[in-house]
Amino acid sequence: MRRLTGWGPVLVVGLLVVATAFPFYWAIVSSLTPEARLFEAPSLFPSQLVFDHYRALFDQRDFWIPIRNSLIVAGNTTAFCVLVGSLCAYALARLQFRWKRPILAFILAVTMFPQISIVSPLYLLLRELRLINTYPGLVLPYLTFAMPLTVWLLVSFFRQLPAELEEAAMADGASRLRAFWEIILPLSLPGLATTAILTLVYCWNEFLFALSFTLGPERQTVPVAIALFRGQYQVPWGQILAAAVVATAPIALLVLLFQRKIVQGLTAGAVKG
Amino acid sequence: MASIKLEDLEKTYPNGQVAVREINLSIADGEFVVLVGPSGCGKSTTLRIVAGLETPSRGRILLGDEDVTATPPQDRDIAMVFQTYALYPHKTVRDNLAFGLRMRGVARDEIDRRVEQAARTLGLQQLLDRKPLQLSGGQRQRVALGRAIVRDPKAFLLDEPLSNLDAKLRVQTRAELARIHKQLGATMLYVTHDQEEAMTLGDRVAVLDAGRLQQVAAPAEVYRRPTNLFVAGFIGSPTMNLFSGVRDATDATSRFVSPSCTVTGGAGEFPAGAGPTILGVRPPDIELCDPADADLAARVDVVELLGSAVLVHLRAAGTEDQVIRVVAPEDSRVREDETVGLRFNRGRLHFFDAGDGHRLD
Repeated sequence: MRRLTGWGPVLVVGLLVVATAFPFYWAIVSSLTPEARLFEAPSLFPSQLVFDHYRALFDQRDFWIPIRNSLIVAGNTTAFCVLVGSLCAYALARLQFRWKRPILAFILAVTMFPQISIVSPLYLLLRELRLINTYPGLVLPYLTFAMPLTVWLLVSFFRQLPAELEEAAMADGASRLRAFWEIILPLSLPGLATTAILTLVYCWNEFLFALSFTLGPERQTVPVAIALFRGQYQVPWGQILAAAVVATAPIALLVLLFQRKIVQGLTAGAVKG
Repeated sequence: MASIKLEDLEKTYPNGQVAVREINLSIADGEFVVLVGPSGCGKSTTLRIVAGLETPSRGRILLGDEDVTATPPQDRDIAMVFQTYALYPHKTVRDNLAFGLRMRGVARDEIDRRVEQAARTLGLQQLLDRKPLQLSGGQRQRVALGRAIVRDPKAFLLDEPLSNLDAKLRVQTRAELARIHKQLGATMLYVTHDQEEAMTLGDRVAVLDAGRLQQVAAPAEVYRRPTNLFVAGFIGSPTMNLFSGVRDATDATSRFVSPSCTVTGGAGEFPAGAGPTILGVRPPDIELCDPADADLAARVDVVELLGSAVLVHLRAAGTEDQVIRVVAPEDSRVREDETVGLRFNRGRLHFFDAGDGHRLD
């Protein structure tokens, strides 16, 4: 392969990095700037760093609660998705039964509804089930959107694994479920990690359902809480940005961590028999 | 160890394709049977049915006295070696070997003991803590074998286990397989497309074509008395020469006439009767001789040195499209484009009915 040389590629990559990282950088800088100076003279390099906004976030607003809510909702959705989705995907990838293609198409079709179009019916349904303002009331609707993604990603992942591995396991005395658990799942860790991250990020950032199906701060998730920071007469930009940083940092860290795992998994050639 | 019996086995796929038809085959306890045939003949499907990885459309499979037709693979207690080895890439060699024992709930120290023993049998002791990707092809092959022998199963099923090895290693491993079979007294069903492997390994060879068993017999028998034209052409290398013509064998004389040759024999030497016949002669059963007392004359096309012998390709005089292969002693002085006489070894002629291809005796 010819090595790319010269300043051209460096410039392109540099521009891309700046373009993606800048908003986050700006949020961090602004969240550390005193409220009064926020609109005076915007500066890339703050002259004075204050943690007022962060203190206000946790002292006055109890920002722990939305964080806890988001963790519970996103965590449960992801766990369910991976657990149920992987079994479902395995069945679709490997077992012989009728209507396999239509089922896959149907699963995909579910995701094609605009979210806004199903908010009202879902609201009525959840109210009927007394699930408004509860964790399951968010996890269940999230599953309808996250599960198809999980299933589709994992079906294609499982399909690349040689069927002979399971056949060997079964000839060795493992039941199909045992072969799935002992052989297929460990080899699918990169795929599972990818789907888990995507699901987690989707649930962490989801706004519309979270806004519609919760009533008070005790069940509101991070995006909803941030949106409701704005009062009647003022918008606390400093706190909003501080909240954004607090909400993004852990997930960004998690993604980076997992990404390492994904790359490791792939380079170890785990899929090759 | 146990015997294997296939009764009226048939496999038709949902798309109507028939992979296996009416297979009846008994494999005795401790016997080594090789299923051989061209690709797509149904040999792998048959093996997978025995393993339980495919369900037959009809017929029964008996393992020992037990009917296992409806038994799932994990409960059949057979071991299978795959062409691709199918080693678990995330497990060490030790764990690969131990997997089958673990699945069957064998005690931990017993597992350790048997893994060590299998590793010793196959010379894998130094490799036990490596992952499959760190092994060479030959080593992986031995791990795959080890995974089978460690369990002491009722039968071994091997699906082209040597075809991913290079020629030298293949011959070595072939010998090792024969040794293991002898040492364990194991019942083995072995699938290959390589007739040489089939001939050297099998106690008996089962030749399969288009889903049907053509002949099941000891290797020597299959070679000396192929039951039909397919077996005659498939078994033996270089392949048998076939001449189509007319046979006329009465009490007094035996005669076979084809456009390229006329072969005569004594009374009763050829199968009795008259009619369209195909005569088969194996390349080593043809002698180069003086054109005066030859069965036919032919022009030398190409001479290939095989090492201990030469393979001579000739074209029969009169019919240019009939290629004849002859294996002659290495010191034969034949030159290309020279016309020589060929004489067929009378005791080694094979006659087949030109209509249905069956052997005539």
